[in-house]
Amino acid sequence: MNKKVFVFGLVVLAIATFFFRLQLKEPLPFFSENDLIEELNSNGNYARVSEILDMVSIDERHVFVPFVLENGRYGFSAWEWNPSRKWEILAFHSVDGPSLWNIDNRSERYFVYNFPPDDKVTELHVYMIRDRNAWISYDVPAYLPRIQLEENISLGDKRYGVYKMPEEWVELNDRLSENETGRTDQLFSSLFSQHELMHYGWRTVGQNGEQRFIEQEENGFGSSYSGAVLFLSTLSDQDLEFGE
Amino acid sequence: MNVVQASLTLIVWVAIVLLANWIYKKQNEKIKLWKIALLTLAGLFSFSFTLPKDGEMLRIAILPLGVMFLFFFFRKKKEKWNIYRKYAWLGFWANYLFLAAILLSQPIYQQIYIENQASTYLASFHDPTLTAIHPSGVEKSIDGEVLESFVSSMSQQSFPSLDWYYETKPYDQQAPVHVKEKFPYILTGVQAKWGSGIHSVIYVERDGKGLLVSTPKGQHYFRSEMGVFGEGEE
Repeated sequence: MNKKVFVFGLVVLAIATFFFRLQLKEPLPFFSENDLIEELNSNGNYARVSEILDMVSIDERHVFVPFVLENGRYGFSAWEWNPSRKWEILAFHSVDGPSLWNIDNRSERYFVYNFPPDDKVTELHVYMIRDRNAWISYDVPAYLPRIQLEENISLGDKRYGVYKMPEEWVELNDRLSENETGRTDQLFSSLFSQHELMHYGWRTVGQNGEQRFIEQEENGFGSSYSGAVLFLSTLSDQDLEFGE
Repeated sequence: MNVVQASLTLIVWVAIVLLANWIYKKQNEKIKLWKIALLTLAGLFSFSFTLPKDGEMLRIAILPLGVMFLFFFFRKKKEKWNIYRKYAWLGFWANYLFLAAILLSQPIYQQIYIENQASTYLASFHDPTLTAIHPSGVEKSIDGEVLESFVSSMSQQSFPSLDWYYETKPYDQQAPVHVKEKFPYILTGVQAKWGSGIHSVIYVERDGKGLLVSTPKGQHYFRSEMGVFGEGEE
């Protein structure tokens, strides 16, 4: 009889734990605008936030918040729901240009940006680049073609946004990294780390297709609280290759 | 892991079981099955010397750590150890069976999956697609049927990787640089021969007549007289 009671108790406990955990996974509602400004300004950052432009939910656990600082600079913060029941800030940026946000360990990747208004800058171009390389070691030749993929994001009236990395980019990356992990010996692995050589960059472009920067008076800065949000390098014509 | 190595490894495991059974039958005092399994597995544990050969790691067992540990553990139970040690040593010597399996699998593998043949890397096609990876690559279509005869017509050639590099992008060019990448496409939807365990990235040459197959172990350059692009495209 005692045994039955024990088993019954165990089952009840298991079910309770299950529902409790289920409830834990459900994120709390995101901050209200006022609370968010307070939260951002309590973080001890260099400049204070004066206006929240938007709160963009990428999914129910990730929110992108573009803002304007009191000194007039444009920037953004990235937030993630932490299962220990709080919203956690991943990054607070007001540097020029977009960042790359890797969500859930790279399974989804987004370009996030917030530019100040400027009629002369109409497009944001983001790039995925692997440099051309060639070598001969022990008489064995190797050649890595240059990879240069480009996406053009139109900057209309809305100067901020979240842009999902195209499937083809993700697939190409996966393909190159799969090629990498197929190795059985580590001896020559550095020669073929094709995937790790991939880097990302950006530039802004005006109506005529020429590169154009947005001038901002104050200096930008960035704080990252996790490795998930990465700065991208600014590219100029020297860094790019063109077809015909 | 390829299918040749996997089957030989499986054969070694079967051999270990058979040998353990043989020892078991010869002994008068019978011990439990799980003990035999545990002793043999523990015996496998060894300090070994590793050296690479043709992209495989050869592990040469030197110090029978597992056997030593078991000996230490049963040092006061002489009679028991007398029975146990045979299984432990079987485990240690099995390291050499695995080594032999790898050594044997290499020549067999090379017979089945011929390294310098394009059909090893391009064996089956599931919706083959050409994707431009460089601004100088124009969108091209690919003909699945042409691809098969294209693959059989290819032969491996040595390639001047450094010349390709310097021809593609001369040092003294001023920005903006107009460059024609020699391999501006990759080919996807293609699988290597079944069981080969090969994962490759296949770059397609600008004229559609050459393939650069990049595998973790190295690269292969194949050329053909015919092109792979769809009809009416050059």
